[in-house]
Parts: sequence; C-alpha cells; structure tokens
Amino acid sequence: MRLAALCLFLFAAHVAPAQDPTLVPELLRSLRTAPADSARAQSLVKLCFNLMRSAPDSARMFGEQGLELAQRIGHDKSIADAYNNLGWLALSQGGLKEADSLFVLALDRFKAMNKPAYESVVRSNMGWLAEKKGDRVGALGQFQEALKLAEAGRDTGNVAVILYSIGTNYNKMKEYGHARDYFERALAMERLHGERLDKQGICLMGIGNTYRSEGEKQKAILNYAQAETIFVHIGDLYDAALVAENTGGLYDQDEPTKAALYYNRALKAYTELKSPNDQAYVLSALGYVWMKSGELVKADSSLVAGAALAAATGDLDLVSDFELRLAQLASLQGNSNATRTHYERYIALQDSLRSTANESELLRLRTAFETERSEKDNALLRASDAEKGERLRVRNLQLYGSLALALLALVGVVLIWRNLRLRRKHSEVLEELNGALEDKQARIEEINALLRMKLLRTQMDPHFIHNCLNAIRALSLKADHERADEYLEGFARLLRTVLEHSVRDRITLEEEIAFLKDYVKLEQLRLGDDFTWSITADETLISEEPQISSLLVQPFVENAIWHGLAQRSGSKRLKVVFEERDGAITCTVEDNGIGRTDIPATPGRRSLGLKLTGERLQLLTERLENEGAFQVVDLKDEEGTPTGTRVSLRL
Amino acid sequence: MVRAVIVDDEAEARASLRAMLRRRAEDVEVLAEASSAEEAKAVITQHAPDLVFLDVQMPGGNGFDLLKQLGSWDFDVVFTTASSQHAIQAIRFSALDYLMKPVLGDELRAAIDRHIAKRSDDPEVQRQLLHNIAQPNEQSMKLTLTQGDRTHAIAPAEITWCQADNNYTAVHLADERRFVSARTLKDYDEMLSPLGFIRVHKSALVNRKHVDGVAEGHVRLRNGTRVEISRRRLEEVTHALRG
Repeated sequence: MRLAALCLFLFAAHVAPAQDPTLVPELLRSLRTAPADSARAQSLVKLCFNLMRSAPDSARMFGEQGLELAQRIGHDKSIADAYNNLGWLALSQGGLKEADSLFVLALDRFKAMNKPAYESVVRSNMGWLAEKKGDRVGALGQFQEALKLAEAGRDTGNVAVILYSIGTNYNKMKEYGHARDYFERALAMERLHGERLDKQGICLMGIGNTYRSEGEKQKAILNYAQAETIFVHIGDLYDAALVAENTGGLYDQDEPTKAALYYNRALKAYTELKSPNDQAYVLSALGYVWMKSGELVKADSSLVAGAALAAATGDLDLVSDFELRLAQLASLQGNSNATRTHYERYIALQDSLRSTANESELLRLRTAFETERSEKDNALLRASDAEKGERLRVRNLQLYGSLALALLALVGVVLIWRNLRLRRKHSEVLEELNGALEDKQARIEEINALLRMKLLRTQMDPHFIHNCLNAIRALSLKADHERADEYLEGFARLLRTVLEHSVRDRITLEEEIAFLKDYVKLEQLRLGDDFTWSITADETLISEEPQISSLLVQPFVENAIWHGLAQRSGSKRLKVVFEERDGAITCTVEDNGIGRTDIPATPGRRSLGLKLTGERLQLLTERLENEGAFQVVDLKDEEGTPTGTRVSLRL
Repeated sequence: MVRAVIVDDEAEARASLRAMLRRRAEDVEVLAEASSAEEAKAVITQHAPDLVFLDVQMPGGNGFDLLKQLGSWDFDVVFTTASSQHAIQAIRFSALDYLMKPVLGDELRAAIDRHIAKRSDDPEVQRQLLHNIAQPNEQSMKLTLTQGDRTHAIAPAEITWCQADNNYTAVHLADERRFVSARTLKDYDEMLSPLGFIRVHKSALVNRKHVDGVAEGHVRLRNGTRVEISRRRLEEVTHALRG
C-alpha cells in the first residue's frame, strides 16, 4: 500500500512535463505586449501549461482563450498544444472522457504537421490516461508508440521519460524483468544525455523496486543505496527519505536493528520536511522493528508519537494500524487491560472504515449508474425521430427506472447484508476476547479476595487478639477503667485500620506510620516499661505523601517484638526508620532481641507465626513482583554474640 | 454547654457514647436518648438540642429517614455509623460530620470541637444532604462548597482540579469559577478518587475527565491549565491516565 503511494508520487513529481510557475509573470508581460496574435496565442497556451498544477482553474481559462484565439487565426501548433494541455488538465482533474477526446484532437493536428516529437508527448499522455483507466495493455501500446515517435524526433529527454513510464507499467503488471530492462535503458539514457541527476535516482529506485519484488534483497539494497546517495547529493531530502524508508522495509524481517537505522534516517528527514503523514508511517514501521528486536520502551515511544501524528492527520487507516501495533506491544508488555483497549479501538476503527468504504462504493455505483443511464438516454434520443423517440424514451425511462430501483435495492441489500455479516463476525471475535479477559479478570479478583482474607487472618494473629482481650478483661476485673478503656480504644482503632487497609492496595506513608504506632502502643501495654521504641521517617519524605503497599511492614515489626524482644530479659529496644534510598522508600526494622541464631527449640506458636508471615510475604512478593524484596542482617557484637536483628525492606 | 441527644437503637452503643462523653467532654450535657427515629422526633421536639448524635443504621426508619421527615432542622448532626460506604459518601459530600463505630475518644472530641467552632445548620446544606442520600451512587451526588455565606452545590464532573493550600483546598471548576474550601486535599482525594480523580501531586488532585494529555511532567487540562506531576508519582499517573 505504502509502495504504491510512492510510485504515484514519483509519477507526479518527476515524470510529468516540468511546469514552472515562475515563468508566469514573464508570459503575462509578453501577453500584454506581443503585437502578433500568434505570439499571444502561444503565450496563452504556455500560461495554461505552467499554471496547470499551481492554479488549474486559471490554467483552464488561459488554455481555452488560447485555443479560441489560435482557432480564429488558424495557428495549428497553438491549437494542438492547447488541446494537449487542456487534455492534461482534464486528466488530472478526473475528466477521463474529455481528456481522451482532447488528446485525439491534439494527436491528429501534430500528425498533420508532421511533428513526431510533439506527437510522442501526446502519446505518452494517452498512455497515462489509459493507465488511469486501469488499462495497462493499452497504456503500454501508447507508450511504445510514443517511444518510437520520440526516437524518430530525436527527443532524448522524452525517450528516457517514456522508457521509465514503460518500466513502471511492467512493474505494475508484475513483469519485473521487463520493467527492470526499461528502467536500466532509461538510466543509461539519463546518464548519457540527462541534465537532471534526480531522474537517475528515480530510475535506480525503480530498479531497486523490481529486485525487491523479486525478493532479491541484496540487489535491491545496492540500487537503493545508489539512489539515496544521489538524492542526498542533490539535496532532495524527501526522495532520500523515501529510499531510506524502503531500504528499512527490506531489513525489517531479518535485521530489525538495521531497519531501525534506516527508518530513523527517514524519520529525521520527514521531521525536517514537516511531513506528519510520512512521519507517522515511518514511526509505525519503527514501532514494529523495535518490537521485533525486543526494544519495547523504544517501540512504545515510537508508537505513541506516531499514533498522535496519525490522529492529527486524520488518516483513519493509519490510526487503526497504530492501535493494532499498540495492542501487540501492550500484549508483549503483559498489560492485558491496555491490549484490550487498543484492540477494541482497532476493531471499532476497522468497522467504521469498512462502513465508509461501503458507503463510498454505494455512492460510486449509484453515480456510475446515473451517468450510464443518462448517456443511454441521450443515445436513444438521437437515434429515433422525435415522436417515436419520445415514446421510446418514456418507456425506456420507466424500464430503466424500475431496473435502476431494483438494482439499487439489490446493491443496497447486498451491501447491508455484507456489512451485517462482518459486524456479526467481529462482534463474535470481540465477545470471545472479552469473555477470555473477563475470565482472567474474575480470576484476579478471586485471588485478590483470597489475599484479602488471608491478610486479615495473618494480620490479626489469633494469639494477638486473645492477648488483647485477656489484657482488657484483666484490667476490667481490677477495675482499672482508665487503662481498660485505653487498651480497648487502641484495639478498636487497630481493628478498624486493618479492615480499611486490607481493601486498599496503596496507602500513604503517613497512614502506615500511624498504623504501626497504634500497633506498637498496644504491645507496649503488654510488654511494660522495659520496652522502648521509635518509629521515624524523614519529614520531607512524609510531606511528599508517597504511596506504599498496605500492611507490608507490620509483620516484620510483629516478628521483632514477639520473637526477638519478648523473649529477651532486660531492656527491649525497637527502632523503625523509613527513608529514601536510591529513589526507593526503604524501611528498616531493628531490634536488640535474641536474634535468629538463638531461637529456642520449642516449636508450636512460633513456627505458626513464621509460617504465616512467610506465606503472606510470598503472596505479596508475587503480587508486588519485586516490591517486596527484603534483607535480614543478624547483628552481633565483637565476640560474635547475637545482639539483635535488622530487617530492611524496599517498599 | 452543648446540649446533646443520642439516637441509637442499641442500648450498649448509647451507654458507651454517654460514658465517653462524660469522660472526654465535660462541656457536653446529654439531655436524652432515643432508640428509634420515631422516639427521636418526640425527644428532639421536647428538648430542642444543639447537637444530635444520630445512628445511620436503625431498624424501622434510619437516621436519614428521620431527617427526611423533618425536612429541615435547627440542630447540628453528627452521624454515627459502623460501615456504609454510600451513607459516608453522602455525608462527606454534604460537608457534614460523622463518627465511625466503634467511636474513638479523640475523634469524638474533635467532632465536638468542630461543632463548637462552627454550627452547620445551613438549610441549603441540609437540602443537599437529603439530595445526596437519595442518589443511587456518588456519580450523581453533589459537593457542598461554601463561599462567603453562600452555599453552592457542585457536581463532581464540573470540577477540573483541586489544589492544596495549607489546610485549605482551592476547587477549580470548568467554568473558571474557583472555591476555597476549609477541608484538606486528602479529604477531597478520599471523596473523589472513586469518581476517577487522580492525585498527581501532594498538592494537586485532577479530574481525569478534564485531562487532555500528559507532557513534560505536567498534566494538561482541556482548558489549557498545566498541573505539575510529582516526580515520585510520574510513572503511576502517566500509566493511570493512559490506560
């Protein structure tokens, strides 16, 4: 698709006769000052020619004036030129029938004047016309004829152009060998006689294209490289970029990194030339090769940038292409949610593109039918005498009218049916996809729910609960209402926080610290005054309100208290510090307890606690991937006696 | 002296709240208790209290039903609730006070202090509360914002972003109006995050519905405003706004 666009572009820019709008002021001056009508007619026709692309309406006006004047004074050359130019105008504006008759008129004049070089130009124009009609064989015939005439007229420049045109025709007919022959002949002509290097570049590119189509990658690359050198040399950035892009396309299957190199070169040029549509195409290709070489971050940035450009240019085809690529990328990244979003957008775009295509097809059929009908009506009208013709016309009109209605209805039904069928097929695929995703989502939810329950269970260690309740009961029995209430309130607060945090994935650091303080305060009531503790964090860190995973630190604090400190006699110290290290929030839990190496050999409760914490951490590490990474350091004094434990967690 | 009434269907809950008030709030006098909405109506008419502790969930006519029947009231309400996300959102959106059960001493004290500092028996606020309670979810609830002595009801969708200013919050609307609210940004974050608001900075909360794109460490809003994303949240925010 992209390659076809390139060929069309080349045709327009290089092969068509070279108009030069800068000549216009000069021509206008001579139009005003020229004494002879023949000179004025020539100026008018030349104005028509040079304004064709930049101002087609003015060109047409000048052309028609020139034709009229030339016919009045009988200036054959100007008449023929005017016909040819007006034909070209009609061709470029889609009036193929009109162009055809104008070219025939021009051809007849030139033939009568015995001017084979001019005849040749008209012939090649007729070749383009045939090609535009899709008549490749007819086009080839015209070009061959044009070639003979140009050679007879010794018009070497035109010979090269025609040779090139024949090459492109063979290329489109997939006769790559023939195509290459002609491109090479055109190239040789250009090298011998040509004044413009860019035409050589175009020929080289054509040769490269034929090799590429035949799968001869190395030869194609060789020719592209030569073409690129030429374009770079003459400062034709756009064509250099086109060639680089095509070269990239040759590498993208086997050597994606190399392809990326070429694409980047093309991208740079397109960016410089401010050509967003081309940029978007290259970015799409870049995204593809980055994905292929596993450079997902680069692929992501290419695709995101390209998608934005595509959206801005409004090329829906391209936008949908990007959505598909982004979906592929998201799936490579394992982001199923994004995959689904992009895929859904892709499908939606495809659907709307298809229905637009259907609509325009319907419109085309309708217009074609209307045109045909009116032409037939005209023919009928001319063929019969008035009265008979009138009767016939009415009857035929009725006939064609009803036929038309029937046909239109039929076409409509077929189109609607096709559209419906496509839609149904797509919604089936979509439903299937959604179903699969929903299943996955449901499983994730299920796992989350299990995790939550598990969190609750392990967080609220039954022994901890019993301890609290017993302590409160003891205080009530002692009628120490003050402390009983304090204990109860602490317990209630903790219960509430655990419930709240267990349904949230992320909480703020401040919330986590408050929670830990509530917890340690409760333990303090039990452990008594031997137990001192601190929970601190850098003030600026807290004020930035960073989010961390909920309920991650408490098991370590609990572990330090129950297994490190509770079994130690004398002063018990606990220190919890939150700080930022290498851009990550780190929590250090340090105690001066008995250490891991000095565990009493009584299993039971201890092993249960550890087991639960371990299990939970495992689940958390799975869930948080690398977030749950932690390190344990056994603290020892100089003699090697354990003096506590330090656990560091990256949150 | 704050004259209060306790409405709760559970005797233990009433006794416990009364005991806590005795211990922590000597400036509050409990005039009476009521165990149902019906009883509460009579008690309130009889005592004309300053403050009513009103349980949200009660069998046979809950706390909201009582207020609906009253239509408007000239006392402050502090709702008490064990857990009902919908009720809590309705209360918070209306800028009214509530206590989570089991009631904690310091939270109770803070609520009483707020009542003493500013009575909020604005009839407009009361109308908003009744409106919000009647909504099926927070999407259609309205936020009560006070500017000077006028109370405005704002649909969350109208809010483009909220900006922290010490303990105040500037609320920016799509029509360029701006309100300064005496609540913290954290409050707004908690209320509005279920509606797709995203905290992009410690001092900024944006409505993703009004987000145009993310570029150069900023969120660009549809009206052209650029809001800085904090370095720490950049990845999370970019991901959330894109995905």
